[in-house]
Amino acid sequence: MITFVLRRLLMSVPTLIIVAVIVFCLVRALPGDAAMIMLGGNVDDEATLQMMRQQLGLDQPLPVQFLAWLRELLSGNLGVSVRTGQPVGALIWDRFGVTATVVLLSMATALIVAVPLGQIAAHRHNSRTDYAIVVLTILKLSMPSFWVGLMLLVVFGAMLGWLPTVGFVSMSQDFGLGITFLILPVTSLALSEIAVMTRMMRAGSLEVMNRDYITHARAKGLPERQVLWRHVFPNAFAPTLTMVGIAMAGLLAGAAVTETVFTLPGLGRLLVDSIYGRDYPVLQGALLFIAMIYVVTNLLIDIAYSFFDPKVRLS
Amino acid sequence: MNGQAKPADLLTVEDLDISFGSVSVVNGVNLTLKPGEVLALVGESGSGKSMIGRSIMGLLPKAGRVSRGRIRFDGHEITAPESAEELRLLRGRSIGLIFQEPLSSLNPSMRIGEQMFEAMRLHTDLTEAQIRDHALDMLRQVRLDRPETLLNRYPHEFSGGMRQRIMIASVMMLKPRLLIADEPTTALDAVVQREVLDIMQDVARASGTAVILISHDLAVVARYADRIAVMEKGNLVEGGDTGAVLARPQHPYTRRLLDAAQLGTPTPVAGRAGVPLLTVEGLSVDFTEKKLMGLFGRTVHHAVRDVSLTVAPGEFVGLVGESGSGKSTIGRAICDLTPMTAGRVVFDGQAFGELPAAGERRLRRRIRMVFQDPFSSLNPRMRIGQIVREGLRHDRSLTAAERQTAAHDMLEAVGLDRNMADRFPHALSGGQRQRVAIARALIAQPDLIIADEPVSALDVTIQAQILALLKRLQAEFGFACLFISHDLHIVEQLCARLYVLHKGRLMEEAATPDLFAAPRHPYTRRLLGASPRLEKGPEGLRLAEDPAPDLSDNAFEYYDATRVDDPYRLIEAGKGHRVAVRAEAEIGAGAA
Repeated sequence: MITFVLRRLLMSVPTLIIVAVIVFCLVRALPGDAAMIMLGGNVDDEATLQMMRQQLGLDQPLPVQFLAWLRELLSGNLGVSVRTGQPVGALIWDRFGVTATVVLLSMATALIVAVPLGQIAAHRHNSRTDYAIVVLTILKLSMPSFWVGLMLLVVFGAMLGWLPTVGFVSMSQDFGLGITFLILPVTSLALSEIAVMTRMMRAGSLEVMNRDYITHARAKGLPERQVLWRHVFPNAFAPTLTMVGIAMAGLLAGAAVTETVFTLPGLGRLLVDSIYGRDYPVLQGALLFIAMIYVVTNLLIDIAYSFFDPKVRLS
Repeated sequence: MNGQAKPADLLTVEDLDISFGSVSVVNGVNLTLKPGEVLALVGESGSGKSMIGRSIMGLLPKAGRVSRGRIRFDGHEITAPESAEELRLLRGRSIGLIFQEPLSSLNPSMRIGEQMFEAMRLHTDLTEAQIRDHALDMLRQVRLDRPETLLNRYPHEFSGGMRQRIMIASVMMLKPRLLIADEPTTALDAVVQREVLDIMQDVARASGTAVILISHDLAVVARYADRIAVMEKGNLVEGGDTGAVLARPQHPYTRRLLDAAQLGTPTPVAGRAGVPLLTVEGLSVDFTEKKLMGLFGRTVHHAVRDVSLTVAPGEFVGLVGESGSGKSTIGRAICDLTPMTAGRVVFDGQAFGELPAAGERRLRRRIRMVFQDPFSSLNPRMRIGQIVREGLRHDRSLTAAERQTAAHDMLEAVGLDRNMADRFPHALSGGQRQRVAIARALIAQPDLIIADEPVSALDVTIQAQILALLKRLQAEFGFACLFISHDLHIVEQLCARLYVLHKGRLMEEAATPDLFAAPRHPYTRRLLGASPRLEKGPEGLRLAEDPAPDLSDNAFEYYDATRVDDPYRLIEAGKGHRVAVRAEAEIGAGAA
């Protein structure tokens, strides 16, 4: 198990190097001049611009710039933000904290709701309950998530005035207040995931329920609740788990739309802002960090998979 | 009181109708079962026999329901229970169920022990330690070694036969009064099947459990049943004591089932003398499992070791052995579907691997395969006509119309209507699908067919039809066939010569009549004894005794394949009759 994890992490090094090259090239390919933007746009003074470029290291040839970046990277230094002067590492970590809180909370909520819901739908296959669940999930799937977010804001923030609409307070600063800022974004994200996961869980359970071992579990005299929980769930959950992994990595990498709608200072917003600001160090650091998120999430999912499917051996 | 009175019926089924929507699958069935009795419920697939078993447990599939009649079990009204809870408590504790597919009836993500303990916890007040002891004891009863090591393992770590034994242990642990065994051994090969049924019988006897043994194969269940009930299309057509039903079957359908079980007189297809069509020399196939990308060594599994065989033009040759003996691997290696580790395959005088690629492809087209499972060997998204036509796709000289005609003719040749060309495989029965698979193989008029268990997945009555079809087609097209099977009695029907395989090695080869009259190797004898058949006795049909005469002449020190490190060689035991012995063994004094 430990060797498996180490080996997988080691295997991710080449991946990350390739990502670093691509990220570096893509970022340089962006139109616009970082030095110009740094100086607040519209600067005619070529000398000032040149000085700025020199200061940022942008006057060097690209390979030299890349190697310089890589050297710093290997010593654990992601550089400083061109715009704010903050260290990139701290900046990303800070923003990631916000995103991770929202994403993990909404994923947990979604799982807690979707797994039983999907199983109930499958258990009552073709009943009114089943139809109701299916119709609701389709309805939710057909609504764009930013629209749902806006509607939540309109209803609970503006009309009812129960929850704040703009801004963010960290839970470490003020736990109670922090939670009020999280409720809407978490709900909004969770709703989308619930819709997808419920359908996956329902489909998975339906397939498993036709298997002989389920009839056999009933033939043992097990109550239906135990049949569902102990025999159907572990076998039906694996496909859902894969999807949870993909969705989780995607959201951690930046739920940019949701963060924009709810004005959360998360990783997605950081990414968008640094693109507009041509903040190369932040952009490169953030993209690299996102690649890392995918690697780690996939690893975690593979490990989790081995708990649900004994045939998957970690080797 | 009156101890002489007959014991009361344990189970009574009266006038039972079961329907799926408006389709009736069981009509007015009456059955009774006394405590400790074994009843065989026999019929083809779709005869409703499994549904009767399910209804006794109150576990019909969702769409099905008991539309008339009643089922009484031990004082309980199964069809009109006082509560759902009453039925649930009967399940497991009083009525046990064993399914056909040992591969799918154990939960793949739960440890064996846990699956065994679960029901005990529910139905008894025993402590965890007592339950565990009980489970170990049961595993010993089904003759599994070192049961302590098994409890923490998962189902996929066991073979089919072992899983079915675990299943029996887990169900019989609660000593139910009635066991419903639904085709418990159909998925297993003959040797294992015999073992599992023997074990089931012993365990049931030990706890006085009555058994309903559901099967399509009369000959297999006849050995174990006190009484037989025959089902045809939802109706119970005949019932009675096993001996009486076998000796004096009343209903025409029962007679048909019995005829199928006898398989008729063997009519081997001998080939033309001269140069063999196919020669396999010293074939070995290894499967290598690398540990940690080969860094920590590798485990090599020898699937086939040094096997040589020949097939003459137009000859049917049987390759027999239990599952895992390597017989399918040989077939696949000849077709280049599995890489050979060593050996040479010569076809029509030319050796594969020593020809230019194009020439080899042309040569290989003259060999075609028919697979075991007609449900997975036909592409579900292709129409029957397309599937059959595909066998001609390499022949560019044909027009689309010619291909179409050829496919239609071929379908008719295998006994299917040409209208079937437009259907999809799912609309066909198992027997019809296997006919399609044969049509696909034969359409290009190959010289050799490799048939890998072509009838094992089919009902007995259908098996007989497919065998007859192969024989007729051989007479018409003249192809040779390497017939792979675990059932000696099936290969006996068509094959002129047999090769017996065990753990990747040849144990015995002989002309079919010689092998049946004088089997030499103990393994061959075990195979012969394992598949029961019916034979004509003085008073009608009866169960054949083990047909293998015991030739324990001690002439040879036979090679035992379970001791793989022993030296090995084949020696001549008669004309064309060769048998595996330990290499240093010499022919004894009294040997022929």
